[in-house]
Amino acid sequence: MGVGEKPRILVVDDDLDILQSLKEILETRGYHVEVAENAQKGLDVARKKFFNLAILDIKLPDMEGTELLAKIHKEKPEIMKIMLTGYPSLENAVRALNLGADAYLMKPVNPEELLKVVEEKLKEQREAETMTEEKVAEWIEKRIQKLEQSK
Amino acid sequence: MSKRNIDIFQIEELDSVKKYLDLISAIVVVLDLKGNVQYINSYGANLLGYNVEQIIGKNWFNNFIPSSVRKELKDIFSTIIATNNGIRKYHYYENPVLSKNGEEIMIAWKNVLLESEDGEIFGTLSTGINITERKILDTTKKTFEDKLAFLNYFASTLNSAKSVREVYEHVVDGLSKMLGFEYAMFIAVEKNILRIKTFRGLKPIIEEIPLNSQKGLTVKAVKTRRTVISNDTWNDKDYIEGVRGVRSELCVPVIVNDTVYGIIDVQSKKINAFSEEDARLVEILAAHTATAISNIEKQVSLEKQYKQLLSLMKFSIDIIGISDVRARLHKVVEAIYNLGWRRVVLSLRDENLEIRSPEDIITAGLSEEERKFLWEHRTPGTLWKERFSPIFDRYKIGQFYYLPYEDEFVMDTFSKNVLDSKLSEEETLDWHPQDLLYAPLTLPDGKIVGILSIDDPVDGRRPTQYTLAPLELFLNYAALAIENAQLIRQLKEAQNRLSEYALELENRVKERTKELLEAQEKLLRNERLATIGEVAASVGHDLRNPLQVILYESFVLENIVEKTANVVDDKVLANLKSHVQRIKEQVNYMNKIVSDLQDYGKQITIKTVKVDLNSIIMNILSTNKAPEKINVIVNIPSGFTIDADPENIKRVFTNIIVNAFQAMPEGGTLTIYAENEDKMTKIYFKDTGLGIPKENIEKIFQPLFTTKARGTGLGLAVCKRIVEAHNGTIEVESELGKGSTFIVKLPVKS
Repeated sequence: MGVGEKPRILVVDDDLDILQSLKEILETRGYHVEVAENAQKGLDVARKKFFNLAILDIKLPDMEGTELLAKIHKEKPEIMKIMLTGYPSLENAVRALNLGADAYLMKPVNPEELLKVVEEKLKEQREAETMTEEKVAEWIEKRIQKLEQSK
Repeated sequence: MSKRNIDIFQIEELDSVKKYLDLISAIVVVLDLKGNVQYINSYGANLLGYNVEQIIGKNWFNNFIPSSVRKELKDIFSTIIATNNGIRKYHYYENPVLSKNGEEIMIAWKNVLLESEDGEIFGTLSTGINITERKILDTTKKTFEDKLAFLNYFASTLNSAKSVREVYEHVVDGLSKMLGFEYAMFIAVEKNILRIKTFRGLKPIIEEIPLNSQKGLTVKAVKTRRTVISNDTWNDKDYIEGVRGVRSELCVPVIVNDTVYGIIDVQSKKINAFSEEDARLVEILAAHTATAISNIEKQVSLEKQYKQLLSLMKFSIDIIGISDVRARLHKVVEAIYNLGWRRVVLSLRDENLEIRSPEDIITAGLSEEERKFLWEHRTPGTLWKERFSPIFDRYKIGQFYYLPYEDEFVMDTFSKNVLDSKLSEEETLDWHPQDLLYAPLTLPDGKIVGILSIDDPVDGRRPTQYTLAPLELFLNYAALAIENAQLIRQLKEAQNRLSEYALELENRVKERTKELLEAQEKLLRNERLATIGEVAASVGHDLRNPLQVILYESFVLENIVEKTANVVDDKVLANLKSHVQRIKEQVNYMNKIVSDLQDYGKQITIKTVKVDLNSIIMNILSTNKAPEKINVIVNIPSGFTIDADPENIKRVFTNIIVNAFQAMPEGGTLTIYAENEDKMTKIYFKDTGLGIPKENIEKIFQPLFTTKARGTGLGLAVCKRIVEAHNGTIEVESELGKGSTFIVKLPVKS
């Protein structure tokens, strides 16, 4: 990621009012935002362009938000994904996380909270990138230790 | 006939016919009412050895009748002049007259009454012929063939008799008058004795002879059933003197239906009076007599049958109007009583042939004491069963069992009869007072439902199939009556059961209808709830997006407000911020409503596990702090578990606890305790709050009902759904101003 380049965020939601409001909020914070009003469009955009983060609504007109999540996760695992769901349930949360979500928020989400999570996830992403080399070394070291222990 | 004679002998005409009367060879005498001779013809006067003038005016009976028959003839004369019946009876009469020289001349008379034109009797006219010679001829010279011819003719006379008594009289008349026997009698066999029924000639000195007597020619004739002749009675060891001075006796048995019915007995003061021919003649007469008696007995029996038929018809008419079985059976015993049994006992029997109550003994001819005695000394059913067993078959006559006391087995088996006989010794013929006669009342399926026992036949005779036949009719009728009564009772019972069942059915229908209505109502309510649930879920979802937009927009607005901080007044800024803040608060509150709605619409699935109740309550109280002034007492034994879905039950308890806090705005105490009872766990939440008005108690669990300005009215409805999903219940007891107690009951799983 080059210096001065805005973090890029994809928002997928079938509610155009939400897309408009959230786009404005995120852009005010200095993010580059692209929106899609259904899953297919979202997926198409994600394939063509680079995004640091995606905010996905769990309920979409053409497919389940979780399905879109799984597809993005499979094709672009590096994108941070935040699921927004209308109804809180443990099942949904677990499922979302298992499908590769990095965060799980309930609608109506407090914008401050959402921004906080977005920032955190972007920070995690940056840290993950800078520390990748160290981490790989560390990870390999741990695996070797475990393997030796199991012997 | 006599009237016409009077016409002929009108007194005025007498003179003109006197000459003619003097010519005939018959005696003609006219007597006045005093018996004085008014006229006698010359033939008559000559016969008596007088002149006509010597006789006229003299009393006929005092002067011209032998003293031996004088009184008899005077009596007859009185009878003749008194009534028309008298002249009819004595129209022909034979009697002797006394002649001047003391000789008795036998005359056969024809007598008529003399009447004036106005019907007054003033005398008699008798014409007589001298039969002295004929009489002698009759008795001594009549040939055997003549006598046989007479007997043949006489048979029809005997058969015309209306009663046995008449037969006796004809027999002795025939013997003395037509056959010429001096002394004749008819002796009847009566049970143990021979009794003289009638006689001609000298009066016997004895009236009866016992049949068990060692002597007696008549007894011998009965025993041997043969003719007995004794022509020298004084030298006969078997002879008992019955008539003074008798030297010869002839006894002939009269056998009716193979039984010696009586004896025809002729006697004579002469020795060697009876020949073999006499014996044959009397035997023939005896045979005719037997036939006549047999015919009369048949007629009597026919009359009896006729009476029985009448009685039966009366019975049938009587019975129609009676429905009660005992009253009907009473008619039966009465009818049997009227058929000639002095004691009739009919008893209703149960399956063990026992009598159940004194009312089940129906009697005729018994006193109240005797009935009581019968009940108190009733024969056990087991004994009766024996009496109907095959051992007793040999005593059967039709359906009846007749046990003659003289039978050795009967004498050994039965004690003397319990009740005294109603028959006197004389009234019994071959029936013994200790004889038993009974019959079962049997249904077509062979079941015995009663017993008839009868005693003391009026005719004193043993029963025969013939005499019992009409009783069998009643027997069958009685059995039928009992069967009908049983059927009617069963029918009534069935009817009662049916009506009871109908009532029960009606109640059940009512109950079911009520249940159905309730179910329908519940269904409607459930449907309504389900609809509410669906609406709630979709409304919940649809509201979230606009809420989200409001939240985002208020955030944007807040940012804008921040940016304008340096251009607007601080006061205005603070005002703007507070307005934005209030929007955010209302959105949060709306968000809670949306959550409740979606909760309510959600399908509840329950996975019960054992949950420690204390830890759930403590967890809830830690996240929902009790406001100040509210004291919470948790009084649950440590280790007390409930069977519940932890997440769902937690929501229930949370709801109740938060409600309780809200119900005590001025403070108070919430007491939480629990107990196990009858496989149910009861958890109590008792507050000292405002309480719930009575009219609201029913409604508080209904969805969308709320008394709070900020309530969704879904909290308790969700609680109820969750508890019911546990197969439990949630109830509330409340008193306005004192507080409410919510009770959650959950089943304990074994």
